[in-house]
Amino acid sequence: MRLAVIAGIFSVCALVSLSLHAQQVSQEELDGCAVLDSDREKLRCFIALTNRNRSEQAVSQTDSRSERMEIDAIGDSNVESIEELINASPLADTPPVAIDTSTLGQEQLRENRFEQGQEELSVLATVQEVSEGARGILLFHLNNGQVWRQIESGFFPYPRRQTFEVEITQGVLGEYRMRVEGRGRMLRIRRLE
Amino acid sequence: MAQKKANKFKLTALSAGIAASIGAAPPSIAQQDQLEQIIVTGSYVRRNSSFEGTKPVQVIDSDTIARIGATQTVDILKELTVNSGSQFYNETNNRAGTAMFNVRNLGLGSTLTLVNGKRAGIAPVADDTGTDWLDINQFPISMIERIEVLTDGASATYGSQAVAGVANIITRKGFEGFEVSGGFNDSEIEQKDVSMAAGSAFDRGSFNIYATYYEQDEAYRSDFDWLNKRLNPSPAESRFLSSTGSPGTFRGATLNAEGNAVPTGGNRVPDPDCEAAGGVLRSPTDSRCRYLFVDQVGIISAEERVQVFSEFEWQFSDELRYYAEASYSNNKVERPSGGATFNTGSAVGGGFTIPSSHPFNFFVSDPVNPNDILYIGPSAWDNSIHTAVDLQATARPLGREVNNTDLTQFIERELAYTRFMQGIEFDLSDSWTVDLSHGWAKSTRVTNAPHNYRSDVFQNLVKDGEWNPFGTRLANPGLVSPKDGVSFAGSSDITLAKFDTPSASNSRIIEQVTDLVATGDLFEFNDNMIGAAFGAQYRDVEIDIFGDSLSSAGESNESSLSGPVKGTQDAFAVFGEVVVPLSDTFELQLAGRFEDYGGSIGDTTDPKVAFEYRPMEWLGFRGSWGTSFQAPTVRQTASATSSAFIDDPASPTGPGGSLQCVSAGLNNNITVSVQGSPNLQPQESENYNFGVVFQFDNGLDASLDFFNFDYEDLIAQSEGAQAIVDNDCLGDGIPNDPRIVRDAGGQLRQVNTEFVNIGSVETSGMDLNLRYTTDLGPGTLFLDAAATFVQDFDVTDGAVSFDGAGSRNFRNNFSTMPELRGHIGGTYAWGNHSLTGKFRYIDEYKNDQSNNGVVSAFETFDVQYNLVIPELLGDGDSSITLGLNNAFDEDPPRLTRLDANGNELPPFRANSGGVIYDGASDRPGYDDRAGHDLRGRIFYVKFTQDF
Repeated sequence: MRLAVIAGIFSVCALVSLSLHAQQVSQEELDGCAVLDSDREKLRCFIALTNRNRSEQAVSQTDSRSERMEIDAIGDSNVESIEELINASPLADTPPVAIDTSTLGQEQLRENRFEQGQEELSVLATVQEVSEGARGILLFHLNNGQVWRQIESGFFPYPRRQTFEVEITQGVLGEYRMRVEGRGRMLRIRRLE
Repeated sequence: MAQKKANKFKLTALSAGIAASIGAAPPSIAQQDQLEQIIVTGSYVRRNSSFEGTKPVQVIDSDTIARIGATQTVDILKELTVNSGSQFYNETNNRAGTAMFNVRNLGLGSTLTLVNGKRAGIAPVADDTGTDWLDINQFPISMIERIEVLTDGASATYGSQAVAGVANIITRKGFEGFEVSGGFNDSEIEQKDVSMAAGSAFDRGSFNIYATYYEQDEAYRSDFDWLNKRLNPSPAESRFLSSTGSPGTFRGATLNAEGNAVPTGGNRVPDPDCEAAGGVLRSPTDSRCRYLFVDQVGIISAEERVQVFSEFEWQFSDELRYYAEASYSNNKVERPSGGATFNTGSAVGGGFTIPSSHPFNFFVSDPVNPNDILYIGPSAWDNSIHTAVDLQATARPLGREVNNTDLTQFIERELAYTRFMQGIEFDLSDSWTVDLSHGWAKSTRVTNAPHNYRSDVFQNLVKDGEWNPFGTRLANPGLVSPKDGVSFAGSSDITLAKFDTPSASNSRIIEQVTDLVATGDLFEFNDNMIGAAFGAQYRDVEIDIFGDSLSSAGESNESSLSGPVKGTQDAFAVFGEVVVPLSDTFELQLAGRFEDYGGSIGDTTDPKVAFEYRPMEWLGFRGSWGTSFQAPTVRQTASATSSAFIDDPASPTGPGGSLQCVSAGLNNNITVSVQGSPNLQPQESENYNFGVVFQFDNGLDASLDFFNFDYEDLIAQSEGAQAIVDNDCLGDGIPNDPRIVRDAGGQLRQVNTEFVNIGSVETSGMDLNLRYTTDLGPGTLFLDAAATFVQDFDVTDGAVSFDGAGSRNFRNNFSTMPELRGHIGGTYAWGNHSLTGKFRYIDEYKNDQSNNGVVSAFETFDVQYNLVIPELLGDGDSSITLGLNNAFDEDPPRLTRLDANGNELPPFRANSGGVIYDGASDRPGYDDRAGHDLRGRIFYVKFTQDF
């Protein structure tokens, strides 16, 4: 049962994260994992796809961050902890999937520093509610519990009395910006919680 | 910090003044539980963000600044209805290039201006009362997050100058990202600016830097059609004529033992080549050759500014934070300089000497009346029969050739501001924080001006015949003198260089301020925590003024004004403040400050009590009573000079051209020299405010505040320059006051007076602010309105009392005070578009310079469209703004003149019944102190790119 739950959770995680990188993993491959008979096999299949994807995106740390944030938004689980769970199960005799360590510390290598910066952060999130802080500054409460605040005063249009999607990106100096549904005007934000 | 149950004051912005901003959007869900600890202008006690103070504070945020099309900080002043009397263009005095707040028209030094809550220096120039202010033109507009204007006396918290209120410029500290913008304004002048703002936050701190480059070109009087119609329809009818012309006017004389001319008392004869050489005759029978100076001075100076402001903070630990600000600003102000006058000639009684031997002196004695002179001319001159006479000349050495031509030189003033401030903030305990900071600010002004004539050299060159002061120099430079057969009429540049030199003067003022403030919780009372702040301040000011050395030695063409001036002043203060929530709906603030200047100035103690009462969710009341002060400035204890337009009741129209008192004389721009006194006392004010605030759930916010200020012991000239000149004639009817300095032509040049504590003003009125926000269709509509009505402005100047509300206040030290100022407008924003319209109104008022002629109301309309384009260039937003300010091109109202019977005077100079009327408008023909923008319709475009 536990394995089924893990497989189910992971499949959703993988589907979402992998869908962000649909160019690397095809829908056919995903379907191929989904039709496997046993939960263990399904899980192993999804992990393999994820790891393969990660190794292909070895220098794209932001993608990894995207995956983690996306997975965080769903339930704070991640690939590593799922792998640990699998390894702790009665099926632990199944060899664990190797983690690609080739990218470890890569961001500190000078020749990669600017290459990595060119791969920009882009995260979709859902705003549950908007409140007002000191001096009319807007506070955005995401459905994952995070709270971000408007950095500067000024008018910012957003859909009222409803939840809405936002895209959070990172600028040239590392600051975070937000757009409503990825197409509205930009708002500089900072995370509070 | 543990503020127990301070949340009970939950209503956001109810207690605060309604913001003039229209940028803040309402929340979709009215939850206001996110409580930060903030400090609001007017208090050092940290409060929860849901409660923003008991004080009336008008806020102008960066959105509003953008929507009004502000290019420079001074443009923001028009949004403040409480501001009255700031000077914008300063065409004739040395304040050009600077700008300042002037809340309630209580004086340029009676609104304390801060940057992030701290003093930020003193401008290197002063007005004719010697007051200090902070020049707000030194700050890049890109650094401003918002300006909070407290419209309440606040010396109990901040010390000197916080009489009418406090303007606190708050920066975009914490801004992250990179933004570049450029703008262009087209009106009577062109204005261009390029700005940047950048900031980055890192693990333990943040850094921000802002910079602006700004330039504007100059505008001359003759560029303005409405000004030409009022004051300069033609050279002969112009109100900008000086009786000291170039070429000049001559009288017969004899030479004394020193070889200097002593006038014989005969006729005055204008140079026969007056008009040919660029002079002006009012009529064919005019007895003087005059100089048209309409474009000698530009109304709007050319300016070029570079401004940089940076700020940094670093968190050493959870308890210790370091912060610093560094800024530099440089403003080059340039205005043209025409032909300077010559006031130090060797002739007895003024003017300079032309000997009979001068090769181009073709004047002879009139055989009928030997004291009079006749002109023979070069073509008729015969050495065998003609004998020239010695002359006394009233003239300026250079005229047409340097007046708005390619040879025009410029007076260059460079204003430079350097400031460095740093401090630390550390937590003494869970609830107490201590802030210690030190600021150093230096302001300098360097002036380089052309045409500072070497007086003795010039006089000797004329006596030697090497310099030709007659009109033939320009009208017929190739003429060879029939008197000696060798001298040419045209003088050489080598000769000119012998006496025409530049002048250089500079002033410097350095202010250092050390602040220590502790803020925290005292104890619990009625389930609420009493907040408190205590602190001390030490302030030191030094000023050095160095006049031009030639002028200071009395060897230039201008009368010697003063030698170098050096002054210092320091002050020590302690203050305390407590905020006591007496119940869930009533809060009291008590504050007091003791400030000591030492010496004869002494000390001052100023208390303040304020309250807020909120009986219902949507209704609140606020009020305050307190005293404030403005200490004598270091200039007022030293000396100050400035210039002013003064009506001269005396005119050289008496027998033989002597000076006599007339009923309507000329308007002159003169130098006012005021000597300081070390015995001056602080100016003291007592004020109270009462207000009611509404905040309805439907998005309507409103506030109505009543104010009253009683301001005494005002420091001013013992007698105003205008009063001295007027009283000289009103006394014995003979213009002979020794404090008045005139040139050889009898033209008023300088008035000397001194600073004393004299006079008072009591003013009262009300401020109204409204804001309404609502969803409308696909967008949001913001409406706002503000108005200030002044009921009384009673000025007492010595024994004279005068109601200055609705008056230009020309004859006292205050500025124009219309009874009503207001604006109403709105913005509709939908998606990435916004459209803004605003109507502004400045009420009519009376021109007390000329029998209270009515100066019309000034009504303007502004409109702006803004479009934000996401990801046009890169990942950031691009913003394009197009706007028209004063869209209907309203001209500034004229300064209407009436005669003693209340009849409007004819438009131009007229002579009626022996009395000369100088037209329907007083000079300068407009009133920039009222906020009447001279630039006419302003079209502007601005592009901003975020990266």
